[in-house]
Amino acid sequence: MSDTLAQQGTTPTAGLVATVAVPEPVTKTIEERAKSLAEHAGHIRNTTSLIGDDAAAMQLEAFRIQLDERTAKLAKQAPSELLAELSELGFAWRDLARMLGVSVPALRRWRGGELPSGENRRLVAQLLAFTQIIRDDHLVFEPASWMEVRIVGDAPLTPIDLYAAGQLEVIHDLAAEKITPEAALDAADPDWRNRYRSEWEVATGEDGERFVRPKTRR
Amino acid sequence: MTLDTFDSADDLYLARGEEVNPHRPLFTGDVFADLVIPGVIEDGMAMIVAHPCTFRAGAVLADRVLVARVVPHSKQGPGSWRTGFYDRMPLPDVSGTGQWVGNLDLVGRAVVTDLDATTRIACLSAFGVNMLQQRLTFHLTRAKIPTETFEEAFSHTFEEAELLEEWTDALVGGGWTITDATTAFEHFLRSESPTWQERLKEAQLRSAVRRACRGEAARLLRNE
Amino acid sequence: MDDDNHEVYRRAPVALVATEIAFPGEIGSPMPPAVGRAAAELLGDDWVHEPPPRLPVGVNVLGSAPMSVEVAGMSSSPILRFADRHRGSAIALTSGSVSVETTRYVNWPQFKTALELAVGITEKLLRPTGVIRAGMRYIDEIRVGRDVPQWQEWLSASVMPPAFDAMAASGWEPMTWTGAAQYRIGEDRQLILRYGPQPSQPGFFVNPDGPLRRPGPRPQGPFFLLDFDASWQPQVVPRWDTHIVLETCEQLRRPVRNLFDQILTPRLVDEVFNSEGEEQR
Repeated sequence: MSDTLAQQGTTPTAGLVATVAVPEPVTKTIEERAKSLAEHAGHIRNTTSLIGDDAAAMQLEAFRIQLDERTAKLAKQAPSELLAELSELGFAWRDLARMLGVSVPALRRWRGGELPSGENRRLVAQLLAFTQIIRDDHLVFEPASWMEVRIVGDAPLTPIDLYAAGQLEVIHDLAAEKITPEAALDAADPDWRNRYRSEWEVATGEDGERFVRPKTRR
Repeated sequence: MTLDTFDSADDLYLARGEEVNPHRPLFTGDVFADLVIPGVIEDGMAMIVAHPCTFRAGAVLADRVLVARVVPHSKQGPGSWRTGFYDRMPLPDVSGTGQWVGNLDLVGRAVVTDLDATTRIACLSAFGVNMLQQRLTFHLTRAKIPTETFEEAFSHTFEEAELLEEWTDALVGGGWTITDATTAFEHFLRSESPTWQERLKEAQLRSAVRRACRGEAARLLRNE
Repeated sequence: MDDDNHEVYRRAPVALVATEIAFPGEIGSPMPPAVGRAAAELLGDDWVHEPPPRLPVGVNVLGSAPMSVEVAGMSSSPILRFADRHRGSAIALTSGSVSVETTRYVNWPQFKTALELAVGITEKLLRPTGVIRAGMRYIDEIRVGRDVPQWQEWLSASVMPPAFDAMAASGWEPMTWTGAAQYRIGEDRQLILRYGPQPSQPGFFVNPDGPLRRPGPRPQGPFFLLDFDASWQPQVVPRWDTHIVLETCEQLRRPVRNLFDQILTPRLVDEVFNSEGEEQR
């Protein structure tokens, strides 16, 4: 409101008792709230009420809610359309089958128009929703490519393997760069370092074809 | 000392019975209902044990391919195959219910033209193929190579087979003959530099190859 | 303004309607990005996530001269703000509050739809444990199309400054005034009204250049401000209950409307609010 009144007036020399004031509006508009927060930003930066496990749990819950919501929207489309979109991303049918827990022939039938069970339909929608989330929110530009590359060079585990094992949150955290690749494998399989220790390696022969040989000593 | 094994029979197979796609190219691990194996007296089922590179050069198949006789076997749980029966490849429920095995000592070079798609009764999954290769290698050489290593080394051949199967499905569905579809696939696979076939060997490039392959098949169908 | 049973004015003077519901939580702590993404997913394509504020203050802070203050953007924003695609309505979440506001208020059922959406998302994502306060704010900018309006001809004497015939006869016209009153409207409920004429410059209380766009032509000219704020702040913090929150907001608007109706004159209703022509807001 205008401050015209505040600019004028007689200032008495006698001490004046503060008058009763009507409080400021209690209900803030969004902009008033934002300005208030900004004015206290210096204090805010030094205090966090959501720390450690609380923040992680909230973020995990929020990711699950986002995934469920996106899945519900996509599930309204025909399964054949959803599979076509997954195909356009470049996934192999055997990998899609593994992530969905079904056989490749089952996928072929669904592509041909046969309807899967309600749960399988949801799983197809969820897989597409998941790839969209890591692509759109975490800038994984080619989800299919990213998911079939080894997480850590020494172990043959890929995000596809983790997805097939139900470790969606781990993959999400990996895509969001919240955890390191090693931490992702630790979460998925704590024994991976021992399990995949091998004396063999793959090399390319002079004919251009790959072959297996004992690991060369360095 | 243990070899790798499966959790359930479904882990070993890509398809069985009526689910076997006749458009899938011949591949390691394919099981046929009735096949003559020169040098093997017994009749009956047989499975391809040769590496794909040894019997096909693109669309061109060799005259013969190394196969093994498939015989009935006493029922064994998955754990039994870790520490024994190294000369056999388990094929549980490959034809109805029951235990069969590929006997890796009863091998011979079958005529490729005898490997009829109509008599193919099972195709192995990638894990099944890798497990077969592990057991065959161990049986012949006592070298134990993890199945993951076979996957790393040869998964590109499995990728190629899957792409050809999908390609053939699409083009035959659009009126092409299998021969023409296969020829067109070979032409596509060897195009570009590096070729799409070369790129299949790199995991991070495979999705791009699949997209290009699917796009090319669609383009060919539109141009018909 | 309107109620389900009240007249809806053709040229209603309401410039902004805002709801703010506070719950236990440290307003100001950064909101996890995952919460923002989940909220965007739940809101759907009709709502757009707005970036953290680096913007002029949209509403002149009460009691101060109009100001435009650039506030620094923050790397982790404590406020998640979404606007509809027309930028006429907004929803905001903090760790301790949810707000809904609009410059395009049509009627309560329509506003309630957005409120239900915001409250539902809050419950799902932030899991509030209680309700600290609920408030409904109505900001009206009454214009009568005069350069020098004689407000006593348009509004109730209750919002006029003290005046006597002798003062008027001597030419002692009130130049301006600011009024404020706080009413008890129920247990733990209060209504604050701030009122007074406002000059031509800047000519608005709700900034048309703010994050929310105002419909119609740019507001200008002198106007009379009515800023209603009805709130409920229980002594004992009840458990969060979506139904109670929505019901409370609906109840809070009734005394606002009643008081608003008392301030108007029939002339204002007939000649301004129900007249033909452009909406005055």
